[in-house]
Amino acid sequence: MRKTSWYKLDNIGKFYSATKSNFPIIFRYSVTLTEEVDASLLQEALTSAINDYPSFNCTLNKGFFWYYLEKVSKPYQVEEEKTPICYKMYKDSEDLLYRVNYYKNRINLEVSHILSDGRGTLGFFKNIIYRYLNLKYNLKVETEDNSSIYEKTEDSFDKYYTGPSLRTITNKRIYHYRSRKKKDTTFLEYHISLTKFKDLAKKYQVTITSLIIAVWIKSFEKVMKEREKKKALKIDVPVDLRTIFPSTTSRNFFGLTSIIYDNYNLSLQDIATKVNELLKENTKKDKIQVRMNQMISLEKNIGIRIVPSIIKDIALRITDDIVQNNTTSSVSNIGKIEVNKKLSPYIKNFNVLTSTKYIQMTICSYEDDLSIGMSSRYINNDIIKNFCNILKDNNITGIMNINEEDSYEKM
Amino acid sequence: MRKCNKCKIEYNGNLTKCPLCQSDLTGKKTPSVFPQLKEQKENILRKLLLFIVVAIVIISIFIEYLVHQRLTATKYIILSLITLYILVIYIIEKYQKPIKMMNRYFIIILILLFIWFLLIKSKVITTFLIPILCIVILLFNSITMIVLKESYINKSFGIILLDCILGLIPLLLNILSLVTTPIIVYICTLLDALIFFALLIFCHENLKEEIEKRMNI
Repeated sequence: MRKTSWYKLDNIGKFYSATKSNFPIIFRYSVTLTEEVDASLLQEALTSAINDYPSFNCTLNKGFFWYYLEKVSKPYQVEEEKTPICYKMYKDSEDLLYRVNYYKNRINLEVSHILSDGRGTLGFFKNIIYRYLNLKYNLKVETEDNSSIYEKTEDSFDKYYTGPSLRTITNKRIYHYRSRKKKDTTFLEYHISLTKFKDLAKKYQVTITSLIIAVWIKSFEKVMKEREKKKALKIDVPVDLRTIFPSTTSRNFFGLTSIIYDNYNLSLQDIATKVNELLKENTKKDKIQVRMNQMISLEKNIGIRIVPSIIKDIALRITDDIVQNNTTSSVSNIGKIEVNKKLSPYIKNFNVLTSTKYIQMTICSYEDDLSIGMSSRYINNDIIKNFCNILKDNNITGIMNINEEDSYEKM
Repeated sequence: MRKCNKCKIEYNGNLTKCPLCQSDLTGKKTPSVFPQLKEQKENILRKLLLFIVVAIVIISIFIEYLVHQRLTATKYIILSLITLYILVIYIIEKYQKPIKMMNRYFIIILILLFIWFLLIKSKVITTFLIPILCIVILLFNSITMIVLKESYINKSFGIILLDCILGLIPLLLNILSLVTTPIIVYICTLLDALIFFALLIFCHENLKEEIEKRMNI
């Protein structure tokens, strides 16, 4: 008797599975521990953690109308880091859509966005860390999961979809940074003091996310040509829908809101205030519900559902190209990562990075460390330099890790 | 830790210049948090094969045109080379998963046979080659199912079903009067029917689930 089970993909999973050959969206969580990682204990921790999160241990298969996830019993074989960061993971329908590797004191979990989003994956990542540290230091700290496996594998998009909503289209022309690109991605982690950054945000009377987006906007503004300032900057900001709708799913459940900015030459304070207002307005439940319904209504349309997946793939790939070209960048804030007090002496910091076709930012914080992950396909790092310089002008400096050595030589 | 005195940023790793402003860094080097990875080498064998195929095609076009001022034999050379190239490349890429490779390989050969038939219109292909290939596919699946039992059925039920559908192609060719001697077609259809009903009787749960997930709308 057949024992394996399968899952339908959620709304985001359906989109990313069709566009995976265009560009696979993979993100990575890292935790830096105080001691070197023990591979066999990490494997043991992963093997038990996957029982709590079975929807991660899946392969992607193609159905006639949609892709679907097929559960497999064997978990990923933990290995020392030997592939580039966020390296493609889907070569074959037998490949898992996540990988766990380690390097010195670091544990990395890389996940395809087909499976889950940042917040959904965080529970799984913390579960692995808790189990690993329990094994390593003979602790007995309970994992934080209170939800059932059914709740974790729920398609919350489907649950909270209320019906089709009209699509609103902005007629503004969107700025897209054009510069020479390279084959590989540059990944940078910038670790700064959370307290200092919080103080600056307090001074400007805005949230941390608003201030980071404002600095990011200012960094783009500095590289724009004068004639390009007729166009608007559009920063996409993913919103965790679990904070709006009661859900504990570990699958994708996020909406997108956008900050559109075209009032150039304002001060950082003014940009931050404007971004803060826009974010507050755009993340209200009714607005988010409309955006979510817009995202799902296409998938629910019977005319689209009956189209074979081969044709859907082509259409969604074209859509993806249009969407990507209609965005300047995106900023994703995972928020504060908290762990049980008994485990914090063994953890130095957390970090999150994502693959990108252009330039993107991902943020998370742990204790007093604000980790800003930046991924860029451009040869020159001017936008990132502007970002760091604006922070420096506000007396905020920190430590940077970069995955390349002397990248200026490639210019 | 190395430091850029302009950007006021400290760096881990082996950097000598600031990656942002390219100023010289000062201070002691500290180990990078990222490993030094060797560059992923491109598959040179694949490129070399492609070059050989292209070179032979160009040379044969050149020689035939020079000698006969027309191109007849060249199109067969091109077709043969493309067939060979696809088959060799597929083996290079998928040799680690032999059963899966074989299943896909059969389908590729079947497609290539159809292309050959459309181009050269020889009924030898539809009467012998395609039905024999279908029999080989069905026998391969039956033997693998008997040897590997559930592990193969659970993993590859989709492909087994697909092969059963492909097993009906020779019958279709016969209906379309593209077959001269139908005995091999009848053997193929008989074998196909036996396997299909065996699946229906012994694996109806798998069949139900396979249809459910493949056809989920």
